[in-house]
Amino acid sequence: MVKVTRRKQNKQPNKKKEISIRRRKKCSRIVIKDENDNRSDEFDKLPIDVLTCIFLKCGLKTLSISRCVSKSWNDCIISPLFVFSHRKQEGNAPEFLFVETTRYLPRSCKSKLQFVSLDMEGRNEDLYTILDYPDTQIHCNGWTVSAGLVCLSTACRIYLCNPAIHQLRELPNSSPSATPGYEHFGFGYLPSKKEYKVLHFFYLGPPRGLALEIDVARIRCEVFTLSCSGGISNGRWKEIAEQPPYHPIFRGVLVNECLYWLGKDKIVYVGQPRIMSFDFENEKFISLGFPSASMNCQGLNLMDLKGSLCVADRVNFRKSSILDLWILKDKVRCIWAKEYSIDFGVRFDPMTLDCFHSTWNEEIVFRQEVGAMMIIFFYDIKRKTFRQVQRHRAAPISIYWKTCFSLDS
Amino acid sequence: MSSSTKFLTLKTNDKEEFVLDEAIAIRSQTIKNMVEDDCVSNVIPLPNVDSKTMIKVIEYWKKHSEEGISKDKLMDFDKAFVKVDQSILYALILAANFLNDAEMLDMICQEVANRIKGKTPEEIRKEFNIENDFTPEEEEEIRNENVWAFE
Repeated sequence: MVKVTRRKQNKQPNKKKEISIRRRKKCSRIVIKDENDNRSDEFDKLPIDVLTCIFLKCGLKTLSISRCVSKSWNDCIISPLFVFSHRKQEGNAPEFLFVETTRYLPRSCKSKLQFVSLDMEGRNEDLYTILDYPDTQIHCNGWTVSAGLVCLSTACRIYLCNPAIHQLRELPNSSPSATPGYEHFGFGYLPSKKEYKVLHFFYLGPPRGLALEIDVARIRCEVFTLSCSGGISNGRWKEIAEQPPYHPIFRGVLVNECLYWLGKDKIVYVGQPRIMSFDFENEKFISLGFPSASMNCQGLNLMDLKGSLCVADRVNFRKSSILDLWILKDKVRCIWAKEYSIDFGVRFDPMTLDCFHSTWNEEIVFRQEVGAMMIIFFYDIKRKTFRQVQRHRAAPISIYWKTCFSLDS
Repeated sequence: MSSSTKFLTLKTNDKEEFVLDEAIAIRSQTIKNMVEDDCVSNVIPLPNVDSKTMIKVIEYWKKHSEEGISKDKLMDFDKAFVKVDQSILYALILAANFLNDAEMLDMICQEVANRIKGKTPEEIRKEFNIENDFTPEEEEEIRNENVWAFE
C-alpha cells in the first residue's frame, strides 16, 4: 500500500515536470505569465450556465453577499431564469410559514415582524426577523403567501415581504377607498409569466360611515405587477376595466393562474354565496355557482387541489363527520364533481377544523386549534391515511417555498 | 463489435496526445456525441483543454470508472481531487463544461460554492480574481438591499 502511494507520488511530479518543460518550449509566454502570478482565472467570466450551476448550490445568505461581488455575478443571481431554477431545485422543499410575532418597539418607533418556517415533518425551525419598518398596524391576519413572497396588508397600505432574505417593501400607493377599511386583495405568482400579481379592490364612494352599505356597482379593482426585473419601485397599479361582479370575502385563492374568492352582492347577506374568479390572462371576472344548494358561506373553504379549484362542504361535515370535496371540472360551464369524501371519524371537532389551501404531493393540509396548541393534519388522498404535526403556538399558516427573489431589482 | 476495447486519441490545445479507452472517454457527453455521430477520425481535438488539465480530468475519469470502487472511496478521492489552486479549479470547470461531464462539473461547482460560503465580497473577489466593476453607488445600493446578509 505504502509502495503504491510512493510510486504515485514519484510519478506525478515527473509528469508535471515533463509537461512544464514542453510547455516552456512551445509557449513560453504562458510560462512567464504563470511565474509572475498573473492569473487568467477570472471567475466572473465563467459561462452563465456554469455560474448558475455554482449559485444553485449556494444558500440565500451566500447569494445575497455574492450579488455584491461583480456585475456579472449580480446579473446572474437576479435573472428570472436563475430565481426560477433556484426555487424549483431539489432540496428546496416546501415548508410551513407562520407569522410568529408582530411587536412594536416604542424606543425606536419601529415594528418587528417575525416569521417562522418549519419543514413538512414539523422540524427544522427557521426564524426570520424583519426589523426597521415604520408601520405599527401590520398584523398577522391579512397575509397571503405565493411562491416565496408574502403579501401583507394594513387598513391603507399593502406590503410585500420576502422573509428568507429579510426584505419588506411597501407597494406604491394604491387607489384609496372612500369607505375606510374597505380593503380587499388577492395575491399570487403566475409561473407562465414569471410575475407576481397583487389585485386590490377599492370602493369609489360616496363615503359611507358604515361598511355595511357598500354598493357592488361602486367597487373597482386594480392590479399591480411585479416582474423579475425592475423591483417594486418601478411597478404601477393598473385599473381593471371590468367591474367586479361581487364583493369579495376572505382572501383570494390562486388556482392555475386564476384568483378565486367567495363573493356576495351585499356585505351582510345570509344566503347563497357565489364564487368570483379573476383570470389574469384576459383580465375578466367570471361568476360561478356552487355545486350544492345547501352550501352556505360559513361552511366553505376554497382550496387549490392539484391545480383545480376545490370546495370543501363543511355544512354536511358538521352533521356526518365526512368531508366532501368538490372539484371544479369546467369553469365556463360551471361543472363540479364530488371527487373525495374524507371520513374523519371522531378525530375532530368540526367547529375547530380549518382547512387551508392545500396539496403538497398527495396530501391535503388541515389545521386545528386546541387552546394554545395547534395541530396540523395531513390527509393523504391516495392512501387515505392521516398523519399529524403538533405545535405549541397557534397561528395562521401557509405553505411556503424559499426564494432568492429580490423586491428591489 | 463492443467486445474488443477501442481506444481514442484526444489531442489538447497544446498538442499533447492522450490515448484513452473509449468506454472511459465517453464519460464526456461531447466525446460521446462525436463517437455516436461517427465523426471521429483517429484523433479528437480538444481545442478548449490544455494537457495539464486533461491529466487531471483523465485521473478523475479513470477513478470513477474503476469497477467495484466503494462510494466512500470515491468521496475521499473527490475531496482530494478538488483540493487545488483556484487557477486549476477554474481550468477544470471550463474543461468539464466543454467536455460536458455533468457529474464532474457538478462536483467542482459544489467546491466553488463551498469556497464562496462565509466570505465577504472583498474576500471573494480576491480569492476568485474578480474585478469590482460596480461604482461605489451601485455597490452601496445592492448592499442596502441585502443588509441582513452582512450582519
